[in-house]
Amino acid sequence: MPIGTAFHERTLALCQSLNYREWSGYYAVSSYEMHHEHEYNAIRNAAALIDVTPLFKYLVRGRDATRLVDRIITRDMTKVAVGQVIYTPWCDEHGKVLDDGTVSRLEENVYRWTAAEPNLRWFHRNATGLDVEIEDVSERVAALALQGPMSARLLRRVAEIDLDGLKYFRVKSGRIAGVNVDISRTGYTGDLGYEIWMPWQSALSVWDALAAAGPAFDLHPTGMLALDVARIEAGLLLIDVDFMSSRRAMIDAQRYSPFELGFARLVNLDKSSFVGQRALVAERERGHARELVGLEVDWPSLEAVYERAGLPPAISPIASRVAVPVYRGGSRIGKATSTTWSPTLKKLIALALVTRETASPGTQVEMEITVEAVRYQVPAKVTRTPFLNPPRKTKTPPE
Amino acid sequence: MAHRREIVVIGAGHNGLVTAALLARAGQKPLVLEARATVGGRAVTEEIAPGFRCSTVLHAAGPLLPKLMRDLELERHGLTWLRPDVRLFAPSLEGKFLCIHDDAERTAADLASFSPRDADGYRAFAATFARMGAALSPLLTTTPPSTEVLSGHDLWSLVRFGRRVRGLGKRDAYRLLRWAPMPVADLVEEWFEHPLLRASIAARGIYASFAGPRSAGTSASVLLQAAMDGHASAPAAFPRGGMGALTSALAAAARRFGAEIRTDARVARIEIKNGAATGVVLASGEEIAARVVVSDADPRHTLLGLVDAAELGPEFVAKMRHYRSRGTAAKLNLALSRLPRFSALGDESALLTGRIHIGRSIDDLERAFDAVKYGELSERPVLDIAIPTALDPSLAPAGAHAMSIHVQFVPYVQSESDRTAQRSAVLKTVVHTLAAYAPDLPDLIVGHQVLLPVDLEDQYGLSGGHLLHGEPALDQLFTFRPLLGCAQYRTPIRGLYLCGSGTHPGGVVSGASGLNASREILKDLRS
Repeated sequence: MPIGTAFHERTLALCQSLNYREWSGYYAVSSYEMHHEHEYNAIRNAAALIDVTPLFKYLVRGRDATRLVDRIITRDMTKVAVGQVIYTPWCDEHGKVLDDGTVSRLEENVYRWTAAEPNLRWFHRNATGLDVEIEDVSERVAALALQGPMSARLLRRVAEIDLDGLKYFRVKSGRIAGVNVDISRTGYTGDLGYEIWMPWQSALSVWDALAAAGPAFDLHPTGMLALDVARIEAGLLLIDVDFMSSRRAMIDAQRYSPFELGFARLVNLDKSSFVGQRALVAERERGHARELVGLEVDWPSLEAVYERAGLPPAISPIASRVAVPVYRGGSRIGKATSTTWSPTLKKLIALALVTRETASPGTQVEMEITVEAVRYQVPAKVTRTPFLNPPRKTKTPPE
Repeated sequence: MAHRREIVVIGAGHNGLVTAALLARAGQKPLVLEARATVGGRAVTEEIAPGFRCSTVLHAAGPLLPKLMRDLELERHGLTWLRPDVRLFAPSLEGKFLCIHDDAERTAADLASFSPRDADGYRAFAATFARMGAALSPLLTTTPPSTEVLSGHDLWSLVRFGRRVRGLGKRDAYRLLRWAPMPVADLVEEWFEHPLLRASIAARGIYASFAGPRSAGTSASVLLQAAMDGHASAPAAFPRGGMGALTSALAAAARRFGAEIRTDARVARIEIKNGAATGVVLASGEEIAARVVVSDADPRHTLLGLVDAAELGPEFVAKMRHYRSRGTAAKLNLALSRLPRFSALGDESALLTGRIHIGRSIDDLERAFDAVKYGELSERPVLDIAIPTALDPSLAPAGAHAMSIHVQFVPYVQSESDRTAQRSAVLKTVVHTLAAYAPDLPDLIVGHQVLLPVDLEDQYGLSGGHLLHGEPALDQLFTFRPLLGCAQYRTPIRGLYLCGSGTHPGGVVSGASGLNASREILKDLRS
């Protein structure tokens, strides 16, 4: 049975749909209203408040904290300044992605590390010979994502913090409702937004302060369905959907290298040794076989498919996590793993893993669409991700 | 980088020196870096009290491979062996004793007074172990096969070994298979009836190990001992001048062939780039670049202490952390004003020239082990003693003697207060134990030195204070020494080799690990 997060008292009262799912052992709201449209629009046009407490959170501290992080992640931690946050994958010894998350350098030798999956044992296994303390703070730290173009304005109202100086992927300490919090300019929506990290026991005070100031900024509590649409638009991957942790993979095809997932710029092979380095050096020389790309489905062709069935086009507003085959010239060249209608772009888009030869932007492929239980191949075009990347995401100071 | 070398050897223990000497003999110019002020590692002669010198850590060779004596011309470099006929003298509390001689017939004749049945049994036992030892001995100088890729050479070695085992005949071949995993207590109980004889033979099976005679696999150590020189008991192979004379001769040989040896040069870490060793950094900060780094340090220290764990990956590191090297043996070295008088011998002293075994029965040995399992010092420890001055008076003032006592079992303790308490407890317990056999001993002590497992770690660099660089248990021998997939003297780091006792065949001072390592290194250098 899942349990509630630090915000459960509030989110339960607001969740009219009773539409929940399980996320790392916690109840997570799928959508507060019966339909997630308002919540999606809050992300893109107003402000959305998302409970992201179920993330796994670790605190790494000690003389060798930097070395430990650097041993594990594929990016160069020594180049990350205090107050900086990075998004990074980490790999097993075969150079296959185990997990991804963010690492915040809170102090010279103190890091907060978020992950999609439990990693405590892995971190410990890599700590041999290091003077470092690793603590799982998942149940001590609550987290809220405040996302959307109004998020900065709302936060200015409630938080004691120099928000204008807080650049994209930076973190600062501040106070909300008398509670000491860390605020990072990060998120999973590809929009202007923040994540707020706070002590579990004071979480409700922070929520209440945000909620009280919320109406002026059209703040909506927002669930996973809206977030899923937004993250696909932003080209952000989801573990167990777009890839799988090599820890649980059963076959080679389920093991993904960071190069395949489009993380090449997040892999620094020249830094000091880290787990998977040798395999990744070899893979760079050999070249990776698959690549994660964006697909834009050709709408007139899709309409034509529905027309053949005598139906008007009907695309679910909920993002699909069912992988479907992608073809080129009749041969299967990969799979689309996340597909959604983008309400902002007015396009059917997908994240897909295809062969490297077919991964260049502009390549014409066909994606499988099922209408009335009949399979069709609909033309689609390979595109770069993110599909959507508003300038406000990184603009400093924020609007 | 101050220096650039082709080969650096970490540690001037006997295996490090053998490796360096053999590499130098093959035309290389290795540089040996020794952390301590003297070469020798566990094979050293040091002063234990003013005027008393003693083999402080190990007191006898295993023996040394005859091939090394020849190839390295060690005699020319001053090495002479003192080989008394008596291997082992074991007194009983009742004032009797038994002896194991090189000559089985003589041993049997002596045993007849104890037990006529054991006298006959010993003849058969000695002959069996001589046959098995001969069949097994080629294994000592064979590189264990790789489990990943079985090379043609590996296959050929195995076939040759298989032939030798078949040559033993069905009966002995079956015995070999059956005995290796067996507790040594059961093995000796099958052969002998007298408790003291059983204990004397079984003691070899638990030497320097975290094991009692009833622990599984302890017979393997006796078989391995037999492979050394055809005897189930360790030889009384003492270099004149103590064990340090052996390593001095090895160092002299290595230098003559072109190796350079630096003492007081502690290696702090091994430098690695792109998965290959590129040199070492000394504790002084000095950097020495090298294409090949060979470590005579134990595997745990080498791979967990000198190499950054990220270079090896968590899987390998976890395996290495599980490599067992918890030391359970201490050394007590005594300076004695004269030779102690063993009640069993009276004024006779010729039988004290070999090893002396103290440990009355299998139960005694097992009880001694019981204590250490629970972190306690054995009340009646098992002792393996040498009195090097009995044959080599030069080590002590005229008429005086040095006594080297290997003490089992002593748990590993770390805190300063535990050490102090344990040092006096070891001294008291051992002297008390010995006084039951040699009542005048307590009055003869003019100086002493106690080396606890933690001292062996601190002063001699033995991880966990383990005298053999890791347990000689079945799961840590041959293809498993130190780890499966890492038993060919190579490591996951290209250009980093192991040559110490933590590799096959390891254990006692034979030089076989160094010999095998040098062969594998040369093979790689030539390919």
